[in-house]
Amino acid sequence: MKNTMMSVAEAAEKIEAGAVLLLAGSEEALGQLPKGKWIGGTSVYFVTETGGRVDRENVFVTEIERATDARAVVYEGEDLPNLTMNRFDNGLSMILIPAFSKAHSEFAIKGAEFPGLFDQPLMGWITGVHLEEIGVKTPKVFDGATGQAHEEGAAVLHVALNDGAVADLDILNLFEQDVAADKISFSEDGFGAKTAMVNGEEVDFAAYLTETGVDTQLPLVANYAGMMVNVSFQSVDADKGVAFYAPVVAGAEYHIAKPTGDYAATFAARATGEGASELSCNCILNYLYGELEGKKTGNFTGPVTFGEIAYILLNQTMVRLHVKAAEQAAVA
Amino acid sequence: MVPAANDPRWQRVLTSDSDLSAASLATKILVTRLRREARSDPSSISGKISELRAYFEKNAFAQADIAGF
Repeated sequence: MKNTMMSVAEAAEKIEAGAVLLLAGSEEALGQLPKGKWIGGTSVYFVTETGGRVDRENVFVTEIERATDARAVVYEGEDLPNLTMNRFDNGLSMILIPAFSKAHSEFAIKGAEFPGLFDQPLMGWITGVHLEEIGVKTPKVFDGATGQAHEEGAAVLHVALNDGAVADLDILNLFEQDVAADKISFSEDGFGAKTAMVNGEEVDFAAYLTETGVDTQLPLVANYAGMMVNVSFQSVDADKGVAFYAPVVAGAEYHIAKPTGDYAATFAARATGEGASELSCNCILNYLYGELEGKKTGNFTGPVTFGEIAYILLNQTMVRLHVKAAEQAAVA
Repeated sequence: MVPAANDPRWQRVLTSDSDLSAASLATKILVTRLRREARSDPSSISGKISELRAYFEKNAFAQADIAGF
């Protein structure tokens, strides 16, 4: 795959040439593009070859060169659980969902139960806006087939891959559970919690976090059979409780994460592979807390997002997708 | 080849907390969900085993993960 920051005019040329594309950019930039085989999502934060930056003019373009066909579909409301329908026999699906939408909540809480979810790679992100424009502008997704922007629903690009091509979906999560720290669990799924079980005792969760001085720039981490899954803190309020950027799952065992140290340096040390030819997205919280403006994340470039998707919703994680020939996969 | 439903590996993987680090992302996420559901309703274990087997039967890419069970 090719990843390039380019002008609207250059992206338009690619679209008109029939390329299968995943796009990220400001609403104004994406709104200028012609119809074609693409979906797009709003973001103005990017990690590029020259480092992290805000860019409202250009669009980040990922071209899936091994694609033989693609179809864009917007799924919303009762149709959302059907998002794996209309797939090609050999392929993958890209998904973009606007932050703060009903589709965002529903996918986060119910997505792991959607039929066929695991049958092909599903990779994508939650679209956003400039942090200073939250409440002023709404995150959006664009259906390239119609050119329409949507504040609701999931824009999915089902992609057919040529014979022998395989898609490899993985994550890089720098956060590990601090298993020496308190064991935390919740009685209900949700994006918020007023109480939690801490080492078996029910506590007022906001009060617990404040009294113990937990660094809420670090996420809660659950262990999914060896995959570390983060839930990031959005806010801690004595009256309203604690809000998260992804739902906590009832019955899952969480620990607060260990600090990563210098995020960019730790990332560069742990990131392996040919990042330049992979599609990746990284979390806005990593961009902010890791001070990624002006800094690179190895060879990995891509949009900075309000949530990441590798089958399910993730937080403070980099998701990476590589489409390669089957013989390359076998050798690896 | 996907083991039969009565193969003890299925019950074992869904009733343990074993690490499946070598498995694909999809397998890890699905097994975690099924473990959680089986824990909350132990009588549902047969259904969870069926669901897990169906996933492997449908998805050749994941069958190598069974070796880790």
